[in-house]
Order: sequence, then structure tokens, then C-alpha cells
Amino acid sequence: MEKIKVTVALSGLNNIDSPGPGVPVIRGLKESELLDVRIIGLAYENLEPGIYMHELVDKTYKVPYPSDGVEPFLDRIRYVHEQENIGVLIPNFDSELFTVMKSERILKEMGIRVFLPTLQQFEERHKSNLPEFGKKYEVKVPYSEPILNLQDWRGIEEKFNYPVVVKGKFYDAHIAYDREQVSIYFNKIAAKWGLPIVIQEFIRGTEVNVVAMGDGKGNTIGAVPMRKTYITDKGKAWGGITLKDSAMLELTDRVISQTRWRGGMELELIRTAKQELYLIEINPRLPAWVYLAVASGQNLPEALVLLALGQEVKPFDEYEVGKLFIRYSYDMICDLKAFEKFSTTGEL
Amino acid sequence: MTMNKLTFERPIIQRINAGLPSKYGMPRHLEPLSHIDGVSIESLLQEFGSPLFILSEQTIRKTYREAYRAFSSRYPKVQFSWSYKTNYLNAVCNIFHQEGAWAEVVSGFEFQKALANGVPGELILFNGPDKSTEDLRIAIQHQSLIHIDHFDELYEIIHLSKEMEERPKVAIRVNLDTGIYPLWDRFGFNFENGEAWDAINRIMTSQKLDLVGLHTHIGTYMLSTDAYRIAATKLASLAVKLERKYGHILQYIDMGGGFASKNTLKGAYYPGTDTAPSFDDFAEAITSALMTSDIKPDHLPMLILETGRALIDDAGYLAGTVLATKRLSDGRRATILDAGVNLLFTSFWYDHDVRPVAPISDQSEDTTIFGPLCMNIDVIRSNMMFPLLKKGDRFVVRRVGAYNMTQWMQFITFRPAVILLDKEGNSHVIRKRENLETLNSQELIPDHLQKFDL
Amino acid sequence: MLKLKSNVAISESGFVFDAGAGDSFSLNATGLEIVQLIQAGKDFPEILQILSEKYEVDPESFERYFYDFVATLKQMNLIEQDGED
Repeated sequence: MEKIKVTVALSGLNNIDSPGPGVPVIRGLKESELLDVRIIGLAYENLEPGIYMHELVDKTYKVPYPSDGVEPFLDRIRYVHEQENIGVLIPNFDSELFTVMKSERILKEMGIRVFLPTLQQFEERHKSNLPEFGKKYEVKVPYSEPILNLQDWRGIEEKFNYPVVVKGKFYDAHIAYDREQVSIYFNKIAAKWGLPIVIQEFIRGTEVNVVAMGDGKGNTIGAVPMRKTYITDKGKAWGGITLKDSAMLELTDRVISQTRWRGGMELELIRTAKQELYLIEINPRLPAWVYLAVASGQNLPEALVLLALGQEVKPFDEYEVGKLFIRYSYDMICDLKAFEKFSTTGEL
Repeated sequence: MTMNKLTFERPIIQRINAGLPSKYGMPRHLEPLSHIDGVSIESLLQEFGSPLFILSEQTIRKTYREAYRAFSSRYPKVQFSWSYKTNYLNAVCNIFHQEGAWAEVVSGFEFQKALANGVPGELILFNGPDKSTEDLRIAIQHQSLIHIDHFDELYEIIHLSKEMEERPKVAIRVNLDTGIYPLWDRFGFNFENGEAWDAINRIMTSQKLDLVGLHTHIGTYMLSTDAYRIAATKLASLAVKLERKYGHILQYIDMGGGFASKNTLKGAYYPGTDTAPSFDDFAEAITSALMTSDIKPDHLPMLILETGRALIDDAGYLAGTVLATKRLSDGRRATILDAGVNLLFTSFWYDHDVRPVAPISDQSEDTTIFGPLCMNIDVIRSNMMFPLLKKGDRFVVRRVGAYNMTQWMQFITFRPAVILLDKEGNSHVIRKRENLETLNSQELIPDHLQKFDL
Repeated sequence: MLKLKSNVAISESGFVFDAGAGDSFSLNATGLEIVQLIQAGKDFPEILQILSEKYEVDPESFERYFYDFVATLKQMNLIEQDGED
């Protein structure tokens, strides 16, 4: 069968110690037997490693931050599209999703496809809405409340027991053992990701995760559960292993079918000593460890592109259990000329 | 032979940030804004002085009609009521009254202003906790719609009704949990703990007051339309309960205001232009909740809206002049404007959209924008990418129509003129620039302080 | 006399690399022209003359921009601190 030729533009090329999902997604796409992809990187910073990984990324363009608004983003995408004729756009950062969702119709008119959760799905699963989400879909969630300032915390402090988890709107989570630490993390996270900050009950147990894909009609296209075997001081997985766990898969199916989830997702779960699963967070995109799913038999990035193109995708029904990933770092050597070119022209 | 010279651009060098994400991805060009409704800002500043508030009548009317259409196309009886505190310049109020809006006031002063503007007393909604006995008396005399805030007020109105032998028209203000934070429970009677129902019962059993409506105002700068849906649902349930128990049919449900404008709140990640829901979004949430409630279709109350900010913010501009530019000790740029937090109260919570009036440069730098006051807090923007203007260059701040012309301070300097551009682009002064006489006319000097020798 | 530090390399694209500090910078077109003129040993009156022949700019504004620009170069440690002022 002839491969489908498609140009995919994607972000998240920051393959650093706390990596974005861009490079793993690209690896999945490059290995696809159905797709022949040309990869266009979208980068925010001059030193995102993916910019310089020419065997994976064909060309990279610098793009404005989502916080600048929809218009500057679309202007830049329009420009890139004129050069490259983008077929599918994959935003790999949480902070981009809102902007891209808002632009979905315009992108479609331009001929650029996306496959994303709806604005309602996106809003509903926000950290600050998690308790409602839990109630609505009958999923156990930790108690949490959003706060806008530290006075707010004084007011609700007694509803919680220390430690608590202090979480940012998009990223960052820290465990705080007293009021002092809540205030430190509040300020730190708020300065970077804005408000509100979510204070969450700390659930003791083992963190387990699922990477999954919904087709938007309630079907699970694929799902692979994993446990992080080692976690860095930034809370990121250093190693992980695929699990055989029907409870986790059932929970994933339930969330996907009830929300009619469209697109990639990562469920962050805590399994307590009593073997109860708590839903901590839903990330509305593929995670950085998605390549583990690819390697264990579910090429979810490929499925994402096919779904975006409107193709029928047969759900994956198995994956290899006990597959391990170990993250490593590698010093790439680059020419200053390449850095110069990207930092002055915004293209490489 | 003369040679055409090239346009000069200021020389600039910028450090390339390697690594740590800065707030700025691509350098972004800040479009200048030279005209409002086709009128040159520069010429207005020359004619009326700097700084200057400029209001666009066209934008006010357009925004109002857009809001009215959003609600009236979804619900049979819709009435807007202009929130005086948002901007009570008489010319502004009268635009809204010409468009059909009633008046919503929160003090005796605003009540008198509305009356003086010619609004019939029975079309004035009197809100808020600040109503003196005298204010209430006048409101009762004028058959105005008194929105009761607390039990003390409720009993006072019952007392006045006996004393004046009048039947006051009242509504109660209800506060309720809509799942948003903070909960505005300092105003009105709480829904969840039964206080609101209690208040309704006391009004009904007193038989002295005419309960015409229910009112709520869930917060300010609301970005969630769902909160309005919940609030409307809860008020509708009270209306149903009221009809069931007393056979009493409400004339209106007042959903208050609080709709967000397109300004960007400080601390927000996305700009307000992306996140602010449209009037259609708010209207859909509110009207669908009322239409699907258990209120009988032929008893559907009039829906009153008191939104202020979202109706006027976009229509207001503050233009002025750069006083100086300097460099701060850490190398950052600072630009000092002739308008500060004295005129732009909202800069305490918005990242205002400040633009140059003339195209200066494509290059912009991380800049702190200060006002002219001798106070450290006089900061309009603590950091924004802004072109380096020079002394005498003009700037304009967009979306300042709400609250600034009512909350401004007369501090250190005079308050500027406010002009209104009409539909033909003619400019009208609607509030004169203050001068020494304006301020001195309010002051008295005792005899023994009349003279001094230096 | 203004003098760029010897370990500062400037490319035609306006990319500046300070090999001593490892910092990099970017210049806009006018900035690049001025730096190149400084590098060529021109002083302020000469630079003013050259640029005002080419661009629409009055000497007073140019002087302000120029010294502001040079102050930035100093702050970025790209200019020798001795032998001038």
C-alpha cells in the first residue's frame, strides 16, 4: 500500500530534562508504515533541541507565544503554511491548546487539520474543575480548590491536611508541607503560569499513568498504562514500564466514552494502598513518554494524524506488557551558524 | 540632483536569550493606532489638550445593539438598565437612554443624576447597600424599583410604607453559589441557606410591599458563562416557589452585570480578546436557563441586564503625551506618560493595551510604562514590549471606557477633558478639563489664614 | 575613541557573538551599520555624516539615539571601557 504523504507541523521540541512531547511524537510518525511525513517544527526558544535534530525535523519556524493571542499566532501559521503547505497541526503544549482550538475553523479553511478535544472537554477537565468532573463522570478525584491569592488559602486551609499539592494552571505541581511552602510555590507558579493556583488534597499512593486516544465519538482508539519506575527531582519520569491493568483501562474507557473525548490524552492517576484509583489530572494531549506506547505496539501519533485526516482508524486492542523506557540525555554538537540563523531569522 | 533618503530606524541591539523561556517568543510588532472612528488622535490632542479621554458614540451604540440583539433574539422580554457607576457622564448615560436602557443606580447621588437626566422614576433600579432613609423616601415617592440588600433595609421600607402610605415596589437581591470564586455574599440575601426565601416570605406576609422582581449580581469580570446559567436557574426556582406558594407572578428577573470586557486581567495567561465570552455566549447561558426552568411560559418574567463594563469599555480611549524616556538601573527601558493611575484606575487590575499613535519603529523592547505622579505605585504597565518613543510622542490606551471616568482621582494635577466623537466624527466636549478655579471654588479659607508674609 | 572588544565577532546578518563571555546578540540594520562604522574606527561626527546622508534623520535625534545605543553596547560589555569618555 502506498504511504500517505503529509506535512505535519508540531511544537514541543524542547527535548530537555523536562521534555515536551514533540520529539517522541515525531519518532512515532517517522516509523509509521502508513504515513510518509515531512516534519515542520514550531519552536519558541532558540535552544529547543529539536530545532537542531535535522534527521527528525525537516525545518523549524519560530512562533509567538500563545499568551500573545490568537491573531499573532495565526499570522505566523499562515506564513509557515504558505511556505510548507501544512496538512496536520499537532500542538503539543497545554498552553497552546486553547489558542489552536479557538482557531480550528480558520485553520480548517486554510486546509490545516487538527484533532483536538472540544473547548468544552478542555474546560471541563481543568484542574480547577476536577471535583465537578469527578462527580459528573463518577471518577474518584482528590479534593481541590482554586485560589487567587494567599488570603484565600487562609480561608480554606482547615479543609485540608498537610501536605497538599500546589498546582499551576498548565504545568507545575509541588508538594507543600506547611503554609510557608504553599506561599513559596504559589508565588513561583503564579509568576510563570498565572492564576488560579489549585490546591489539591495529597493522595498517598503510587502514581500510574495512561496514554490514550479518543475518536470523539466515545471510542477508545488506544490506551497504554504505565508506571514511572524512577522520577527525577522535577517530577518527570526517568524510566517507566507498561502495565497490565484492567482497572486502569476500564477507567480510561469510561472517561473517553462519557466525555466523547477527541484526541490524545494522558491520565494521571494515583493508586492507593487499598487499590483505589484516583484521577489527579487529565492532560489534553499526548505526553512526552508516548513513544513507549509506540514501541509497545500502539502508534498513537500515527493514529492522531490519520484521524485528523479523516481516515478510519481501527482501535488498537493490545500492547506489549513489561516494555520499559529509560530516558537518557545526550550532548548534541551544533554549529554556532545554525544557532545564529535560527535566532536571527526565526527559521532553520 | 536630490537623492531620496531612506527612513531611519533607531539602532537597537538585543541579547539573544538562550535557554530560559522568556515571556516573548517572536518579537511582535505593536501596531500604532492613529485614528478613532476616522478622526486623528493627534489633532484631537492638539485641539483639546493632553491627556484626553475620548469616547466613541458609534462604538457605544454598536456594542449596545449587539448585546440587545444577543438577548432579545433568544428571549421574549429583555430590558437593559445602564449601570451609572460604570460611567455616569450625562452624555454617556443619555446615549444608553436613547437606545432604550433604564437606569441602575447605587447611591442617592446617582439616583438624582438619573432623575435629572430625565429618566422616569419608575424606570430607575436602586441597588446596593448605600440607601439612606431620605434616599428610600425619594425612591418610594418616585415608584422606583428598590432592590433590597439586607433585612435592616427591608424593615425600614416596611416602616416607610406605613408612614408614607405608599406601596413601594421592591425586588430582593440574592447572592448564590455558582461554583465561581470569590462568592459575592456581602450583597443581598443568600440563596443556599434559605435567607432569600425567608426575605421573600416576609415581604409577602407584610402585604405592604409590591414584590416585583428578583435580582442577583454574581461577580465582576466574569469569564465563565456557566456561572450565569446556574444563577438564572436558581433565581427561576425561587420564582416558581413564589408562584406556587402565593400565586404571585414576578414582573422581572434581574441578572445584574459583570460580563467581562476584552481587557486582559493581570496574571491572566491569554489576552482578554481571546478569553472574553461574547454577548451571545452570556445570553445563551442565561436565557436557556430561564426558558427551560419550571416557570410557566406565559408567566416568563422580563429579563433585566445591568451590564456596564462590557458595554462601554471598548468605546473609551485615553490619549496623551510621552514626558520622557529613561533607562532603569537594570538596563530596562522606562517611558513616562502624562497620564497615570490617577486617571487609569483600572491599570491596577488590567494589563492595558497601550499603543503609539504614530508609526515609530518596528522594534520594541521590554519597557516599564510609568505615569506622571511622584509615587512609586504609578505604573501603567510593569513590563510590556513597547517601541521606544521620545518626548512629545503621543500614545493611546485602548478599552478604558468603564470605571475610569468615575473612579479617577483629582490628585497632584487636574482631570482632563472628556470628548465624545459622534457618528459623523464631530467632537463634543462632554466634561471640561478641570482648572484651578474648578477646584478652588469648593474651598474656603478662614479669615485668619487669608494672608501671609514670606 | 570607541572601540569594540577584540573578542566580539559580528556577522553580516547582525548576529553578534562575544567569544569571551559566550553571549550572543542581534542587531537591527541601523545598529549593524553603526557597529561596523565603529569597528572601522569612525568617530561620532563621521558616523553622523555618513548616516544622515543616507537616512532621513535630523542630527539632534541621531545624537540621542546614537549615545543611547552606545550606552547599551557598554552595558552589554561589548565596548572597551578605557580610552574614551
